[in-house]
Amino acid sequence: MMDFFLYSLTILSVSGVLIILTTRFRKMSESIFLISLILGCGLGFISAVTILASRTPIDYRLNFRMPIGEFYIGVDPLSAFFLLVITILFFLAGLYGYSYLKDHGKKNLSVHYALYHLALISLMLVVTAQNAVLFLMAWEMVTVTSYFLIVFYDEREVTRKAGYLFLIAAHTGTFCLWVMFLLMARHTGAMNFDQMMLTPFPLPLAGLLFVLGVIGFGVKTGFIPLHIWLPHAHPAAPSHVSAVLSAVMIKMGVYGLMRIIFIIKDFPEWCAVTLLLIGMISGVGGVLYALGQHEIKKLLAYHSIENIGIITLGLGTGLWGQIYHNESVILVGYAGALLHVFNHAVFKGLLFLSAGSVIRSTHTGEIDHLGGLLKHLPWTGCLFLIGSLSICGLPLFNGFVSEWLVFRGLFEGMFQFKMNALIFNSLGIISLALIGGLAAACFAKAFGAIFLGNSRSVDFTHVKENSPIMCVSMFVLGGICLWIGFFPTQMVSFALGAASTISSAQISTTIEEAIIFPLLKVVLVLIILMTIAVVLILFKRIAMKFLPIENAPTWGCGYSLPTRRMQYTASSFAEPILRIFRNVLGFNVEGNKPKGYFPDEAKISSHVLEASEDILFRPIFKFIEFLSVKFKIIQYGYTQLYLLYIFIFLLVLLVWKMI
Amino acid sequence: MWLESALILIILFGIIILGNNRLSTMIQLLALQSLVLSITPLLIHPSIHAFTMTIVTIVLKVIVMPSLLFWAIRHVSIRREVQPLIGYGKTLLLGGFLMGVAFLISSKLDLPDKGMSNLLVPTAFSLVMIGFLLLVTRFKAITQVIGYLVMENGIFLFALLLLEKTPLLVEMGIFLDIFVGVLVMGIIINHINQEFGSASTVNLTNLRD
Repeated sequence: MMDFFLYSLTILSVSGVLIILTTRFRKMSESIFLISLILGCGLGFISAVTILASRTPIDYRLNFRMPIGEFYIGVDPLSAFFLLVITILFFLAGLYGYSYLKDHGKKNLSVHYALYHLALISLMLVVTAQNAVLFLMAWEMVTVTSYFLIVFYDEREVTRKAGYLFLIAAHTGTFCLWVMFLLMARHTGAMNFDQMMLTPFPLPLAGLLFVLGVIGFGVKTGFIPLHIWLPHAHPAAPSHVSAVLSAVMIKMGVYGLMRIIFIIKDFPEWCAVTLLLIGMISGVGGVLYALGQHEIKKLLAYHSIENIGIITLGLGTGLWGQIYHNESVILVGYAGALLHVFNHAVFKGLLFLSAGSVIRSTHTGEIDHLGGLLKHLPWTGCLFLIGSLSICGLPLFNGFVSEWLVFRGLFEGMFQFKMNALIFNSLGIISLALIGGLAAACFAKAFGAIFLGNSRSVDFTHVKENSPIMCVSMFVLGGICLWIGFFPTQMVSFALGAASTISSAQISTTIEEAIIFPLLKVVLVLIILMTIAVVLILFKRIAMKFLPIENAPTWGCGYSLPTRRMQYTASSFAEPILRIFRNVLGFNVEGNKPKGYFPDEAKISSHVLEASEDILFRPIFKFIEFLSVKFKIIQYGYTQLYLLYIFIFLLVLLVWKMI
Repeated sequence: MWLESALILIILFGIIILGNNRLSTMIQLLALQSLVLSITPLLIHPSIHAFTMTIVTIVLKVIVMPSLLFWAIRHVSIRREVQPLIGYGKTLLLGGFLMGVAFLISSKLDLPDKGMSNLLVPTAFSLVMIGFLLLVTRFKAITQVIGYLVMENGIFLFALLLLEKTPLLVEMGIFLDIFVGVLVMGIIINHINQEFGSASTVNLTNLRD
């Protein structure tokens, strides 16, 4: 199976070069892109699935040695699980992107396609690298290629700024990762992961490495408060890029953390607590910020942070289980996190793609300008609904399965560990429930404002459904959502296989059955309830046939002459919830309410303060800028002065040597 | 005895260069210094190796480079360094101070082989420092080249410690480097002059950000 994976890498890299070479022949370069995408992703997908099914790792060493590293890749079930996410999402988003960018003016698409392939290759290398240096090289390649994918619309200043911010944030993270890996290499005397694993790490060192890892990977992943680049970069990129960014790219941080846990094994207890706290803060914070957003892709970007929070809760649960050596909790926690990685990739990919479809048709992403699109974009609307229901974690959709696993891990841990666990796990359960509720409110707002009602400002009668290729990719993603929701067995067992790799815990059939069996029962009960509901609705439909039905305009509300502006906006829908959390969020409402019997002008506007950006990072950046300007005075431009610096340095060295 | 006298002479020439403001005199002094310098290998360790080095040093440093520099100042028609960064008196004082530092450093420095004379290492250090001082305090491009060459003479002296251990080929390579360096600098001086109408490096400050 290693052959398949290597073929896939080869095909992608060769075709990437070919795409660049055939820039002048647009048709040819597009077809090369499509064919290589299908072949590369297909081969990668097959190798991932085989390894997940057999649960045996494979590896490959190339015969040349780099100065400090080695080209050493290996696919174990953990890598294979992420490989699955990468190949599925990149294939569908690439297909979508091909159609999305079709009539896109004079931009050089070949470069974009080649970079897309390069990003795919580097992501594949990140999850399969078994050598620290190779890992970091691939990691950097992911950063650079994502930067170029993000700044596709580089004529806009917002985009350039977002890309710049992303680059700075990502490199800050990479700095921590270098320190972390160098410390690990110093302790173990090896750069290869399998050799690192053989040396036990003392607990304080493990704690230090954990902190570095959480910062380094957390920047890419978007833990609050390290997430500042995320809400800027996602809306700036073209939709298919935002989809892979949110679905795949930010998950690499999760993969990295899992790989670190896989290598180090023994952690102090506060690490698990930290992960749980990060999960709660990112989860609840992400969804609250999302509620305050009025731009669809920005809203979705904040939801990525929320889902990263859920994943981190699962990770923390698993780690806690690992500290107390409780196999069931380990497996459930990690499997929940992993499955949510997959699920989030699928439904967030779906949501970003359908948001892209809306934006492509209407040329705007402002929720308050849209409305009533379900009549014009029926497929996009339905698929957006499926994505929304999944992301809220509602039963019979995939989000439910993974969140159920995380819940179960938290509950199991609560009763089996010490007092601390009782406190933090119950906090985790509460916040997970809160996240689910708030996410439902947020998507009720988004779906309601975009697809229901009437259009709020622009006339959308000319808007038509997008090309079939775009719809097909969305359909496949929606299908996967439903498939996992109805038949979770397969993916849960894949996730369990990967989870057992992280912790080296053995899965006995009894444990696996104990995990899957209740889930299947729950799903079965829900299916029965659902059937009953469907039957009742059908019955109502049939019964209504015999009654007179009067059609009225949407949001008529009894007015004789309603206008399309007389309806709930996204802001007004979210306002009551945001008002409750206004102290946490820095939620501001400005404007004057109508007063008296004959009110004159009234207006209202609301916005949410980005706490970590405005309060934490901007002052830090200001301070750094201030320092940099101070240092500029040593830069006069006279050669003599620079020579003097060298001279002084030389003297200092000599004198130092003397002493 | 002869070696010590030669080394003292070299340092003296260096100090005179530091206190001089006529470019042609500076070049002549540099040539004289190089002449004395070229004899030192023979004084330290008379052999065919040393003899070759002497010949090459005389040809390059006493004949070719000074004439190149003379050609350059004729071309850009400048005679003297007009405004040094620090006055001549102060430069001389600083030079003396740096020589003291050089002696101090070389007394503390732990070298495997002290060479033939106790003066060799301090002289080498002093020359490097005097060269640096010239580079830092003078603005004319030609004085910069002279400073660079004085510094190089210091390094040459230091390298004499390793006279027997270094193959001839490496020595020749170093000489070639210096020759090419001076040639390039001579041409650059010409270009600076053409571009700005004077050969002062003050004009080169536009390159900072």
